[in-house]
Amino acid sequence: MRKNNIIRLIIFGIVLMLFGCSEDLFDDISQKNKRDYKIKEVSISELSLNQGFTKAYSKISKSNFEIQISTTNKTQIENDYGFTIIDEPAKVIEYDNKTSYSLLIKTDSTQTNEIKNLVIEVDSLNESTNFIITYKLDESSENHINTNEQIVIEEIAFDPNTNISSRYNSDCMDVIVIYCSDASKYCGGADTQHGCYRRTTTICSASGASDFGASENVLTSPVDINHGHGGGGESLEESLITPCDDLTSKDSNAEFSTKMTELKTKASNQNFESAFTMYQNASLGLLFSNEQVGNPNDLYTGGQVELNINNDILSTPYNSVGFIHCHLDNGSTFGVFSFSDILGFSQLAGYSTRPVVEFGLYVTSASGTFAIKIKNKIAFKNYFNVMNGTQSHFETEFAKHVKKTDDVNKQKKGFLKFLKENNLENMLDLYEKDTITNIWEKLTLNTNGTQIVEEPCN
Amino acid sequence: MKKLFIYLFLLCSSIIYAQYPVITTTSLSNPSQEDQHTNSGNYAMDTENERQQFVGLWRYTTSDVLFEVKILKLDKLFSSTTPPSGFERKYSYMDGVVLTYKLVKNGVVLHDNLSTIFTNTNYHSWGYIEAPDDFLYGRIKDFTGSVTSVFTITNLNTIPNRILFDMSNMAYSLDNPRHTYIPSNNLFSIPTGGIEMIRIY
Repeated sequence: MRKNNIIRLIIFGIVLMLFGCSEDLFDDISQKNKRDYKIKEVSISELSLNQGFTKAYSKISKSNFEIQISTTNKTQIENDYGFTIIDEPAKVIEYDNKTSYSLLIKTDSTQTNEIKNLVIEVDSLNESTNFIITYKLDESSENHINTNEQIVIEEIAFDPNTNISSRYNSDCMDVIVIYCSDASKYCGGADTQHGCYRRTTTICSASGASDFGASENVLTSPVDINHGHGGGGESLEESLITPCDDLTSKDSNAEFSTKMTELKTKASNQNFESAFTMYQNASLGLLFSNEQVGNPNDLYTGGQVELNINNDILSTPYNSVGFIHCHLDNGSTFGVFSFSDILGFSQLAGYSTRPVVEFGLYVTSASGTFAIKIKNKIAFKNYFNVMNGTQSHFETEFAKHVKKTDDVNKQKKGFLKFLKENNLENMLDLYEKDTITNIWEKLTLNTNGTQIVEEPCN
Repeated sequence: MKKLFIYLFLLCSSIIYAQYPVITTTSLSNPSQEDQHTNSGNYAMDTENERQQFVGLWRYTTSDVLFEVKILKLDKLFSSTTPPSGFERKYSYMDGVVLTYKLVKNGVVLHDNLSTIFTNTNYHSWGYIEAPDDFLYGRIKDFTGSVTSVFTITNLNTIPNRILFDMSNMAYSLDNPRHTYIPSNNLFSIPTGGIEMIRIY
């Protein structure tokens, strides 16, 4: 039975794995993303020369003497615990005066859809905590981890005096695991193209006694760290790449930037809309569809652009992540998004299996450049059928809130109000790019709905 | 039979009002209240009877087109969307107008619903006027094209009285799945881009 005296323990378990991960050793991605943690990749042979690591590693030895790991021969510890360390770069993560080492391991029982890590965390007092974390990949969902049950954590400690329960006098603890993913493989945080996620799970000793031995561990119900509303499995995720990170990252993508500039020009000199669909490919990064256009001369389609999703080798509904498109400067369209835009975005979210932080819907015109980021993908995609089936009701509501005849500031306020009054504000966030600083700002309404609050990214 | 419909309508209306009570009221003529018109439970009222100037039958004619729009006031238009599971339904009321039209092209009547009666819970072509605007803003359904689009109607205050009816050919939504539309067929049958219409009554 879970008790209330939960101790927060942070573990950084980054899975190192497979081919295609960054080959740059000591590639510190925190410098790129300005995060509050650092991740390095270190080869096993170099790690074996790291005293901080070897001391911590030796503590889990049942032989209780210092051992250096080897890339050629199995160490005593490997024999003791029945795993083999794979000669792939380890992830070294520094955070909050702690350092953790994540090593890819294999056991005889490792399944093909599993990845196992030996994770050793050393705190500022040189106390170490050791885990074996097994990630059970969801093949039906492009190897994503969708539920906490897919992360199995076992504490290993030969000396009972060093395990968590004895040190913290608690039967249960929350374990925060950080991992990074893409659709086809798991590699540690060095890959900035893909989402990194934080998941919190609670592990308890089965008996409530002070023994977290591997055979006695129980993985309890996941802890919702977001306290979100109706988010299902994804509300348990706290993406370490924030929506702001993703918006900024896409801005730094040359093709994205060029296309957005191109769209802004088209907004001023076309009488029809243009759009591109975005896809996130595991190895090629961000991809774009061919330009899609509305055609005012073909009165069947009209001037609005249809937001299409490709289905070819590299670009599929499953790896689609959003649309960029233009509205028109001549006042014939909305300065902000239309409800049809939201509907198309919801449909895309229903198809795609990409991490939620990657999704983005962009519109640009002389009125400004705006983006919608998804807060709760499950709720948003589940809402598609309702929105699509009763579109006229939503359009009526939209027309009551957003008038294309209004100036853009009034449209922004109306749009935010529309999200609020139609239960979409828990699913979506609106951002605007500052025309002077080029910094994205999250737009929200103040409590009485009379003013727009701008929250700049960074 | 007609009485039966009226009774049914009154019954439905009373059920809706009982279920979705008016909690607050605002005036559409008061610009300082514009942020509150669509608050859930609010009834935005046309306290200054601004809609009256648009009420009537309006006509546009060319050599091959006859287009008539009838505008009627309808109080307390109810609007709401189905909430996601577990969420509370939000709703609001607004005094507005409803539109019906007759469209004849080359002697062929494409659509005529001038005699259709809308209720405040069942309407599809509608508009409203709120300060500081001096025009109607709303959406009208083009039955032939199966498309509903934003319109504005501005009273030109001329003698004889004319309005500028401007149906957008860009801010629209398709009423049917896109694949059901026939390429090369006109999406809109109602004239778009702004036409002057003269008051008939």
